[in-house]
Amino acid sequence: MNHLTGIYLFSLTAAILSGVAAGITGTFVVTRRLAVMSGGLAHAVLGGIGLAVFLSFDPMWGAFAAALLFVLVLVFAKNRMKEREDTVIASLWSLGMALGILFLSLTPGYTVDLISYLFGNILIVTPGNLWALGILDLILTGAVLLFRRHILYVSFDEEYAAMRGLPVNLMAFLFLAVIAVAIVLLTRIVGLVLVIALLALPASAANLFSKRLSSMMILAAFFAVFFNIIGLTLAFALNLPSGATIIIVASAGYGAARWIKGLMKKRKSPGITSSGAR
Amino acid sequence: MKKSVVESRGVWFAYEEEYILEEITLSLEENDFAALVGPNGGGKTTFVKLLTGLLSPAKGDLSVFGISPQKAGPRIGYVPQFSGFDPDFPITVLDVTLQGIFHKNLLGPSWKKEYLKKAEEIMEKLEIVSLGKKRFSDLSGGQKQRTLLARALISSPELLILDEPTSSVDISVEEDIYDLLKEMNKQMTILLVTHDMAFVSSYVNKVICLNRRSACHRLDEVADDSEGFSPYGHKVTQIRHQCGL
Repeated sequence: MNHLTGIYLFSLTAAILSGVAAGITGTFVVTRRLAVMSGGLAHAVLGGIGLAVFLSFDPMWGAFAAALLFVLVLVFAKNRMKEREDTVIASLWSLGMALGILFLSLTPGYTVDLISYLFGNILIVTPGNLWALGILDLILTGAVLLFRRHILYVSFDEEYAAMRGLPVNLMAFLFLAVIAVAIVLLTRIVGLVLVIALLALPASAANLFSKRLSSMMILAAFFAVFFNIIGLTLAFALNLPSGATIIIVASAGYGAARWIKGLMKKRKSPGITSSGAR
Repeated sequence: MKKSVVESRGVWFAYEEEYILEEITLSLEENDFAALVGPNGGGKTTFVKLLTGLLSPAKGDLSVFGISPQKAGPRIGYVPQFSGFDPDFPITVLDVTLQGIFHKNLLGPSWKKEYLKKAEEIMEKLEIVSLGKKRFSDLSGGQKQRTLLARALISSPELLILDEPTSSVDISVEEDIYDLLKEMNKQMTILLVTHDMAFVSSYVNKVICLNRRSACHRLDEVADDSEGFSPYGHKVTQIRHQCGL
């Protein structure tokens, strides 16, 4: 096995592990309509990355701290201060990025590749990143198996779930926390600018063909792994940036899924033709 | 003497600083079939949320079956408006129905046979058993309403609360639903939030008018002095409150 094949196989493992995490957390993002929140969180972690680089820590720890802070401030501002959620997200989004750029510019002899954080690079994933993704996948899978119905019912009808005594506020916070952790780990693959697409596109495509939340999660993970592998292989073969290639493949995949769903609908209703009803 | 189901004594509620509900005093007894009517923004949905324990009064005493609404939760069935649901959410009719008996201690991914049997029985009664594997979002308005009714009824509630159950269904389905409720009223107390006083007046025995404050009437106290007044194309019942509501 030559060096290049070794890098490819290593990246392939990252593609599979990140696909599983993206599929499951992406289902939370799509069904709970958290895409804007996730986008804001992904961008705001640059503040943590910048501060960590400035203080000579591992940037990943800075990203985790910023993501957790984002969730806590959002929950507090929304629930306690009754602030508008979209305004809080937009403010934290911009503030995080501004702080990140400020800290990175203040770092003496700064050499970290900013572009790899913004747009990701699956080819420079470390063994530590792989371990973290593997553990996240295990925790997510275990939690979904154990709490499948809790997740289903809190996501479908939060008020009714609260009436039945489910801890809806705790679960809402845990959803956000899991999404935050997944976003930080996935930024190594596709970058903080593109990560929201990796969460939203496979899950949205899966939702077109799923009757149940559990089947949506499985199909979303399958789509995410598939898009990652195709994107990675294309990037490797054509010497393209991996993060951007994966997202373009995911977008094309979502378009194809919509087209197939359209064809299936037409087949089911043969009485309606493109020129109108018979 | 009939048992008391809902007792509201001087209940006040405010979302911010402005009160939405003021001094709400009313009671519902066993086997009452009550209509809760009033203008939009009058506090109907807020009062329902107080009854289901989702909100707590700022002032006053509210009890359901003599205990707090939060504790009475398992004895209450609730049918919300289906227009409030995410139209793209992936959930089957069977899973929606089963939510009515789900509680936080049920861990693991699958259902016991006894729960599934119970769901099948109630779905059969509501004529939706053949839809069990269908996606909830693919149903018609009437089918969705029956599914939400099945979810509320699966736990055999003693108090059933419905928030405008016929707001998005056609008139024949509306009649079916009210006939079904009338039948169920033999076993449970029903509180129906509605705009359609003219239609429900032949079903209910009590009318609660709510516009921040409340006035409660038995149906035989409701004076129909609206002969010839038909802005919606049919007869409208007018109620003259002594309290100026």
